Amino acid sequence: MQNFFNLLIRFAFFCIKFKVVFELNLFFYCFSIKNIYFVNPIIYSTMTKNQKVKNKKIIGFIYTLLSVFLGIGILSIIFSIILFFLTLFKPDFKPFFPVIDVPVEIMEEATIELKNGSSYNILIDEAYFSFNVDNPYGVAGFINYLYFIFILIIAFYIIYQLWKIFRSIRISLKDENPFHQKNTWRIRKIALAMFISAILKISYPLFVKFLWLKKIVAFEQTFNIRLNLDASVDLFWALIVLVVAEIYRIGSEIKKEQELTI
Amino acid sequence: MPIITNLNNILIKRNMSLTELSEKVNITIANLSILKSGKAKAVRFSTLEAICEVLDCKPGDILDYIPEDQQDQNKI
Repeated sequence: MQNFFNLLIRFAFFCIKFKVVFELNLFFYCFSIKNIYFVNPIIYSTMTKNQKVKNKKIIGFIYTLLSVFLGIGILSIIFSIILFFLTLFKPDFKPFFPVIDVPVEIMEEATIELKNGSSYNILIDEAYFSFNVDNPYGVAGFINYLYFIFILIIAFYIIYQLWKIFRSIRISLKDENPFHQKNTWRIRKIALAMFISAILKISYPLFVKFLWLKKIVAFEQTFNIRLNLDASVDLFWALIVLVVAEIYRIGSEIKKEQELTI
Repeated sequence: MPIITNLNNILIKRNMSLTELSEKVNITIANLSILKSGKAKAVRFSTLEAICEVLDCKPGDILDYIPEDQQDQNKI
């Protein structure tokens, strides 16, 4: 019975994910080319002065936030590279990262106790084991480090593209034209980076399982590694970002037509 | 584009410059240049009305339709 409910919940989440994709398709259709002439391009110019000032402040705030994250990203990458070389030349030096997270197959009965004093039986069916894989593990340690630094670089690249987008929007606010062709490509690049990151996250445990790690023994039990299917949600986010890119492209075309309307 | 504008010819006939026209119809010179050069994608009726009122002409005097293949033949 518990397994049945488990399957039902998983199926429900599955349906929700596909509903999101279906809604996105519908949303995109509403903004398709044949409907383009029914969209009013004059909305931006009829906004009140207060609204425009508020929008500028919001964009300025997001731009500042992105600049801070960009700085943190650059420092993180430099710090990671320095730590890696320190580990190579000073074997005694053991950094606390990069840590490997592997999803494991688990089906353990447990009990939860609530604050009102009652307790219930539960089934733990998902778990992640995190452990440090550094220099002494040889090639596996090096590949783990590469995987970590690659994910970090992808995250930094996404923030960098976002920063460039908001920078161009901030500059062009004076002309009241936030739509630029280059920004469409930047949003598409963000979607591509998210897609690559999702594929890496899904497939990395597979690499660990088939090429390096046989099993994990803990708490007098043996655990096998499974695929990280939770990272498949990132694929849907990449899809959402692609839709945003198309909406932005359509916005640019509408704006361009409006500029050439006398 | 098959729709072409004869704004230049009308301005010469009325002995008016683009700057004067822009001041009278309250449209920027940049926009009128776009219309004059034929790069405009659309013209609002209100704009057309203002231009015709100032230049004392009909929309057909400013706008003309020449199919694209005929335009190519004229160029040759």
